[in-house]
Amino acid sequence: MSTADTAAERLLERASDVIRRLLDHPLLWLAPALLALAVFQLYPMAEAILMSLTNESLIRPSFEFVGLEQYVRLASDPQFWEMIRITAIYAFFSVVLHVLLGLVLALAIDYGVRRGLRGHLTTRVSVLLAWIVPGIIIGLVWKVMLVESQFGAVNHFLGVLGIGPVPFRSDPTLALISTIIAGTWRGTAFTMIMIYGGLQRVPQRLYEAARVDGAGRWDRFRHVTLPQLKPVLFITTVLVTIYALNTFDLIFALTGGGPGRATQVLALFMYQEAFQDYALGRGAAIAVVMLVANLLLTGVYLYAFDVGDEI
Amino acid sequence: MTTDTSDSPDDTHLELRTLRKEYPGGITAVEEVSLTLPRGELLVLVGPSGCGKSTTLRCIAGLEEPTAGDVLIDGESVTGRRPEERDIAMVFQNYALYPHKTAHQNIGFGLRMTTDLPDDEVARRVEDVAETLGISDLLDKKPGSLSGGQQQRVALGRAIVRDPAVFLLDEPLSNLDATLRTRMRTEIQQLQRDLDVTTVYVTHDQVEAMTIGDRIAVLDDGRVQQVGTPMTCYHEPTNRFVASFIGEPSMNLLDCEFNRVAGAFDGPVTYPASDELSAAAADADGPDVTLGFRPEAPTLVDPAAGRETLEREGDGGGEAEVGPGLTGEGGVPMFLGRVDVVEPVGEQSFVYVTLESGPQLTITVPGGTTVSERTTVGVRLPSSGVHLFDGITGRALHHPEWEQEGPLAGLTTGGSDI
Amino acid sequence: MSGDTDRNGEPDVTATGRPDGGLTDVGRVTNRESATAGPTVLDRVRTELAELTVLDLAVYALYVTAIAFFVFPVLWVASASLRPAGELFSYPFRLVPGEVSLSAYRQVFRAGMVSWLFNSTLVTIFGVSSILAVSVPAAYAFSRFEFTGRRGLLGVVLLFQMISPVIIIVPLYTVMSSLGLLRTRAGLILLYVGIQTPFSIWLLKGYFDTIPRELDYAARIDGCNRLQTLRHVLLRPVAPGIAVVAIFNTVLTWSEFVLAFTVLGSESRLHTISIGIYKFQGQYGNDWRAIAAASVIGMLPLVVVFLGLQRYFVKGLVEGSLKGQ
Repeated sequence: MSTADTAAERLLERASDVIRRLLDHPLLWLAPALLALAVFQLYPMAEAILMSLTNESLIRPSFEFVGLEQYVRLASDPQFWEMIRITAIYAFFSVVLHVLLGLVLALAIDYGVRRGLRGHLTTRVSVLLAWIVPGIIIGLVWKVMLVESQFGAVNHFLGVLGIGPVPFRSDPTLALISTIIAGTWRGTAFTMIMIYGGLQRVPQRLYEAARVDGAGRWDRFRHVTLPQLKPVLFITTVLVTIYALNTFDLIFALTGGGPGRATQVLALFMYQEAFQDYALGRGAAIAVVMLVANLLLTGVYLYAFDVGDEI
Repeated sequence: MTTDTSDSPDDTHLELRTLRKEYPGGITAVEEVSLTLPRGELLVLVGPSGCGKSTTLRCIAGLEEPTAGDVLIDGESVTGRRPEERDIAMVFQNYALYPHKTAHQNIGFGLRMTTDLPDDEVARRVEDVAETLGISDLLDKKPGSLSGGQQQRVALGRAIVRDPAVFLLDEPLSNLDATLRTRMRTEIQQLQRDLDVTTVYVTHDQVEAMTIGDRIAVLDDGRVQQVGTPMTCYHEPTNRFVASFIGEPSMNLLDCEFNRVAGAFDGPVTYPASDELSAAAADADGPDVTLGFRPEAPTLVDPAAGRETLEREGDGGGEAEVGPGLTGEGGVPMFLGRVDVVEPVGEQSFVYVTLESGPQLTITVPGGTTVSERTTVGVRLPSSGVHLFDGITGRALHHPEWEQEGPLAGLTTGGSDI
Repeated sequence: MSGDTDRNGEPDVTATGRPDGGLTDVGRVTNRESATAGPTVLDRVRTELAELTVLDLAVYALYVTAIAFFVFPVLWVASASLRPAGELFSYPFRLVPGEVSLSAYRQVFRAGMVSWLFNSTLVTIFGVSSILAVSVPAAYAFSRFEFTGRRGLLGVVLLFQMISPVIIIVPLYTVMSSLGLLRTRAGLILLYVGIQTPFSIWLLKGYFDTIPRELDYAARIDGCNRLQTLRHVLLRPVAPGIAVVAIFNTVLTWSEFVLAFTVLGSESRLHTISIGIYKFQGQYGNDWRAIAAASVIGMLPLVVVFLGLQRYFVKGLVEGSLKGQ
C-alpha cells in the first residue's frame, strides 16, 4: 500500500476507509428496507389501532377518543357478523380449493415431466396465465363469462345441456360461489408453482429408498412427498389464506359486494365504511379485527404444521 | 528443520500469539493457539471437525478478527488489517471459484482489484501461472465445465498469482476422489517447495497431515495439543488425544490402574510393569494410567506356543480370570484373544482381536501372514512398544525408544505406518 | 443463464436423470415433435399409446380440463372483444367471431387507454427497480451478516408479509396525505416499495443462502469490499433469484388495484390500467364488448412479457430458493 502524499489523497483514503467501515455494518444495507417498512407498514398499523379507538371521520375536522366503542358497536351489529360469516366461507373454500387444486396440478405436471407426457408445459403456462391477469380484469372477465342469459359463456353451455339460465350474480349463494371460483381461477397458479418448486426439492434417493422398502405409489406420496412438502405447504397455505381473507379487487369488480350484501367480505365492508361513509374510526376497527384474524390464523397454522423450526 | 522446538526468532515468518476466538452466543471456537512458522515452512493444522482449525486459518487470513491474541507476519502485527493488506492467499475446500467468470478472470480478479497493473500485465501473469499449473488450455472455460482437479488447479492459480507471503489452504483436497487426492497432494507439496512460500494447511485427515507437513500442529477443543514433525507426533505424542488421533489404524489404548505392590498394571488385562514403566507410572497424578501401543507393536503368535510357555514357567497363572498376563519367550507378555476380522490392505493386514478379557485390539501383521478369522491367537506385546499416559490428564508419561531420523535410515524406520 | 446450473463442481444436473422443470422440458417437447415427424409416425403413435397407463390417461384428462378451465375465459373474452356490435350475443355460440371488428378497441382507446398504459408502465418500471434496489441489499445483509436480533428482525419482516395492505389502507391514506404523496406516482411507487419489500427480501435471502460463503471470503481476499463483493461476485449467481423477484413484482405492481385506487383514484390523469378499466366499466355498464376489449389490452402486455419469461421464472423458482428458510 502506498502512503498518501498529499492531503487530498489522505482524505480520499480516509473516506474510503469510512465507507468500508460502514459497509461492514448491516445497518447501512438494511436501512432503506427498514425505513420503507416503518413508514408504510409499521406506522400505519399502529395508526390503525389508534384510529380504531376514535370516531375520526373524513368529513368532520375534529375527533375524539371513544375507547372501545367502535368495537362494541361492531360486535352488536348483526351485519358485521354476517360479513364475518361470508368472509370465512369465502376464505375457507378458497384456501381448500387453492391448495387441493394446486397440489393436484403440481403433482400431475411433475408426473408428466417424469413420464415424458406431452402437454405438461402447456398446462403449466395456462395456469400461470390466469395468475398474471390483474384482479380487476379477472373480475370483469368472469362478469362477462357469467352474464345471466343465454349469451354468457357459461350459461350458454348450460343452455346447450338444457339447464339455466342460472342467475350467477344475482342469487346470493351462487354469487358467493362465483366469487370463490373466480378467486380460485386466479390463485391456483401460485399454489401450484410453489408446490411444484417444493416437489423438485424432494431428494430422489428418498423415493428410491421407499421403493426398495416396497412402498407403492400412494405410500410414497403419503410418507415421502407429503412430509417433505410440509414447509412449502405451510407457507403456501398461510399466504393463500391471508390473500383470501383480504380479497378486494376481484370481488369489487365482479359483484361489488352484491347482490345486497351477499358477497360483501370484510375488506369490502371496511373500504365502504372508510371511504364511502367516511367513518375512518369504524373502518380502522374492522381493519384491526382483520389484522387479528390474520395473525391468529398464521399462529394456528404454525402450530398445526409444526414447522416452527424449519421457517 | 529440527524437531518441535521453536526456531530462532529472526527466522520467524508467521506467528500466532495466544490467539482466541469467541463467537457471540458464548461459543469459543479457538481457546488458545500459539504457533510459530519459519519462512518457507509448510505447517499442517490437523484435528477433528470443530477443533478450531478452520477458524484459526480464517483469523490468519483476516476473514475473522480474533477476540484476543495477535497474528504477526514478518514480525508485524496484521490484526485489524484487511485480508488483501496481509499479503496472504487462500484456497478453499470447495474452491470458491467465481461461477460466472472464466478461469482466466478467476485467476486475475485479485490482481485487478488490488493493483493498478495494466490489463496486459495481468493477463501475462495469469498466463504464466496457468503454465506453471498446466492449465493454459482451460483459461477460457468457466468453473462449471471444469473437473474437480482442474477447478482445484484454477483455485491454486488464483492464490499464487499474487505471489503471497503466506499461503493458506483450507481442506484443499477434501472434494477430490482418492486417486486425484494423492496426485494433487504431491503437486501442492512440490509447488510449495518451488515457491518456497510459508504455508498453513488445514485438514482433518491425519494421513494427509503426516505426508504433506514439514511439521504438524494437532488441535483439539480449540487448543494446540502438539506441534512437531510428523514422526515426533507419531512416536512421541504428548497426550492420549494426539496418540489416538495420529496414526492409522489408531493406537490401542487400555485404561489400567498401576498396582505398585504387584508391579503390574491392572485393567482389562494385567500387564507386568518393567522398571522403566514403573518409574514412569510413578509420575502420574493418581493410580490411573492408560497403556498405549501402536498396532505394529505386538506380534501375533500361535496360542499353543504360548500355553506351553505358560506351563513351563508357571508364571502369572493367578491372574488368569482377568486375561492372563502370560509371559512368552524372552519375557514378553502375551495375551490370548480371538480374531474377529482380518482386513488385508496389501503390504500389511489389520487384524482385529478381542482378548479373552474383553478389549478389542487392532494389530498390524505383514500382508503375507495367514490369520483366520474366529481362531484363537496369542498377542505378544513387548514392553518396548508401550506408551504410558496419565489416566486423568491424558499427559504422556513414557514413550518407547524410537530411532530419530538419521540420514536415509531414519526414513525406513519412520515410514512404517503408511 | 450460462454455467449456473451447478455450484459445487457437479456439472450437468440433467444427465443424472433428475428432471428439472424449466428449460429442459421445452427441449423435450420439441424433440418429441420433431421425432414424430419421421416416416414412422403411425408406429410411434401406436407404441406410445400402448405404453400409456391408466394413470397417464387420468393425467392427460386433467391436463385437458385444466387448460380448458384456465385458458377458456381469456380466449372467450378476447373473442368477445373482437366481435362487431351485433354479434356478441349471437346464437349459436362461436369462439372465432364470424366477423372481426375493432370498434370496441377504438372505444377503449378514446376513453384514455394510452394514458393508463403509460402510467402503469411508468409505475411498474420504477416500482420494480426501487423494490429491487431496496430488497437486494437487505437480503444480502440478512444472509451474510451475523448480528444480534437478526432472526428476530427477519421474523418481523416476514410478519409484515402476513399483513395485507388492504388492512392498513385507511391509515395509509392519511399517511400519504400528510407526506404530500397523495395523487402522485412517486407516492404510489414508494408505497409499493413498503408493501412488496418483505416478500422480496424473503425470497432473495433464500437465493443468497444457496451461494457458498467461501465465495465471499475469496472475494475479500481478492480485495473486494462488501459492495464490490456483491457487485462482482454475488450478483451473477443470484441473478435467477433477482429475475424471479422482478417478475413477481412486475405482475403484482401492474395488477395492483386497491392502493392505486386509493392514492390516485381521484386524479384521472394518473390512472393506472386497473383503475382506468374499473372506472371505464362503471361508465359503460353493460357494454360487454368494450369491457372485454379493455380487459384484453390490460392483460396483453403482461401476458406477452410473462410468456417470454415464464420458463426463467419457473426455473429460478425451482432451482433457487423457496427453501428460503
